[in-house]
Amino acid sequence: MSNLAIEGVSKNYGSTRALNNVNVTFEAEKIYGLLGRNGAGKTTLLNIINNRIFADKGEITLGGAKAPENEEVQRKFYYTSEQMLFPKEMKVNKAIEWTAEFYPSFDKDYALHLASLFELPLKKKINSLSTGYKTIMKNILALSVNTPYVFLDEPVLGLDANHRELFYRLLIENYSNNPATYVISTHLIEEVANIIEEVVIIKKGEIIKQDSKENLLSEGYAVSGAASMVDSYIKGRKVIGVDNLGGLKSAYILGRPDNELEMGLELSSLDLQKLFIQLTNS
Amino acid sequence: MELSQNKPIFQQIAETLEDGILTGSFEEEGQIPSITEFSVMYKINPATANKGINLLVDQEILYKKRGVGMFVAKGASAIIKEKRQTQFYDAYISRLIKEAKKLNISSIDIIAMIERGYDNE
Amino acid sequence: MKKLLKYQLSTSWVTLLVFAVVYLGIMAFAGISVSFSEGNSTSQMNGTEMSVGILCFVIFVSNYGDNMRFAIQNGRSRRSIYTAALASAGLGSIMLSLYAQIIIFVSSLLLGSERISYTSMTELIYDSNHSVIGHFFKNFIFTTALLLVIAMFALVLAAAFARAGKYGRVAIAAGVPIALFIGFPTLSGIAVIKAPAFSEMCIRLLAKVMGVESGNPYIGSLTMIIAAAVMALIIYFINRRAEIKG
Repeated sequence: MSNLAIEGVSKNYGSTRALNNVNVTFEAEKIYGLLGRNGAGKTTLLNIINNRIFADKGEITLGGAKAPENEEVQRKFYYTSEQMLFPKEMKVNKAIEWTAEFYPSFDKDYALHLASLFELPLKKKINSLSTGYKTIMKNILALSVNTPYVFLDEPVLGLDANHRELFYRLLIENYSNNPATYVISTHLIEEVANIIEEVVIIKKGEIIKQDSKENLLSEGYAVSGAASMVDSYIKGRKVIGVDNLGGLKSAYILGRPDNELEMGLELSSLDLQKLFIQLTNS
Repeated sequence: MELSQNKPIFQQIAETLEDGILTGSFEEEGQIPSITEFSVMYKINPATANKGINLLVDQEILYKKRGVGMFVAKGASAIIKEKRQTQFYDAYISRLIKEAKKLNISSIDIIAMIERGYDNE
Repeated sequence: MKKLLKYQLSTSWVTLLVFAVVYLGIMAFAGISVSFSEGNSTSQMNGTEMSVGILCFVIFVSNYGDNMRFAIQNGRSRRSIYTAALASAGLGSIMLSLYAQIIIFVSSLLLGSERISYTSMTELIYDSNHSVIGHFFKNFIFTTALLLVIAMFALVLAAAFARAGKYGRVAIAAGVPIALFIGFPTLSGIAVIKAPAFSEMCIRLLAKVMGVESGNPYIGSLTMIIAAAVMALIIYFINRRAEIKG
């Protein structure tokens, strides 16, 4: 399967710049975290990739073939977002049947199995489901469709803890048994941090980081200890943020740490959420 | 099993496997859980689990049986023990000494504590 | 595209079936009740295809938006959606027209008498030399063209609605009925009074292109088909850059 390349994509809504010259590549068979704050542009980008809205500028190609309005490409994608594009009066079991009809690789038995795992009522109309269950239904379809690219926009928003856990386990299992590219767009970073392999951070319509999670986290480190000691340590280093707790201080630094730290200073690795917060604070 | 923040996850996977081998939970020549099972269990990316397992394959602690899965090598216990004995100082002793110095505990006190511990535990 | 058509049919077959049964029922009931009643009153079942026209309009206008959104969810392009809409308008017009003509034909044949007459739109507009029984094909063509133009009009409205933003939708929802039922009649009323020569010319032009002047439904059918084609083009351009909004 080829790579999905987004090049120079911009989108304006009136005078608001939703996306500005976005360049990002999604490779085959990897789990991506598309991370960004509320309103950063994640959904806009996914909507453009999945042929729901049009970019003002730029190109989106899969192995060289243009993605917009191209069914051959779009059939390799499946996208679930907050928007409900299913007819409200449609019953859950019909939604499953029709998705199977439109996507030959859809595993209907698996979908029904997931429906019972999540306790999703099959005979109910979509509009009578709770918000959480509407999301669950869409997630089940996304997990059963077996397309090479699956885009999930905030897949666990509104789900209770049990269902969130179940979803992540199923996602990992699916990915492990049938590798595909999963792009998870979310602002709930802690939960997905261990699951994603690649990180794309979007801030105010621009991509500020695209790298493997491993590289990204090894880019920096955290030093904690007495505030005065930390202050003297960080002199001359590239600090991307600090936390203060009384006389204790933690500093988040880009670069590699010295081999030996002074007594009283503790070294720890960055965690993705902290790094994200530091990078995306205005 | 909880994952900590301070060590790369793949390393933690490798260490958990090693612990299991040492305690006999994973027998030599026996099969270990699949990558899928590991990743689902820990809720991590399969590539990470794979990395941890490959680390042990490189050290000849595990080996792969084509089409079947991953198995514990014969003599894996011995390899692990030897490795950890070499690493013991860095892994435990220097931290112990750092902490002791912070608390003004002398080396003589530590030796006494250790001897007491060996008697009791 | 076949799958889109299959889907579209699945969403409307119940409505179609119910209508088909009710239409048949009413036509039959009218004829049967007249033949059992006494007295000399007469009944007229004229131009009943108009109800089919309204059905056509309603189905297309109400399903387009949902069908388009569902198609996009399932990876289909706007182009596919467009061709499927045109195909269903075409096929739908033909099938509905055929059904209506058959019902009128059979009702007229079996139940028609001096006391109840069944006539078609064609007969109504042109003259009684175009009754269904003698001129089935002519009626069929005319009704098909009529339904097609109605369906296309419905699709223009639906496509415009899908493309429009918040305010655009209000403008369409309120504006179109006002324009059709208030604006147009008022303007033509004024025109007749204030500019009689102009209105006369317009009416004569309309009669000419609709073949009423020459009494030829085929001309009328052709005009309507051309109108449908123009609307098809309009729909294409509306649909092409429509964005899916929440």
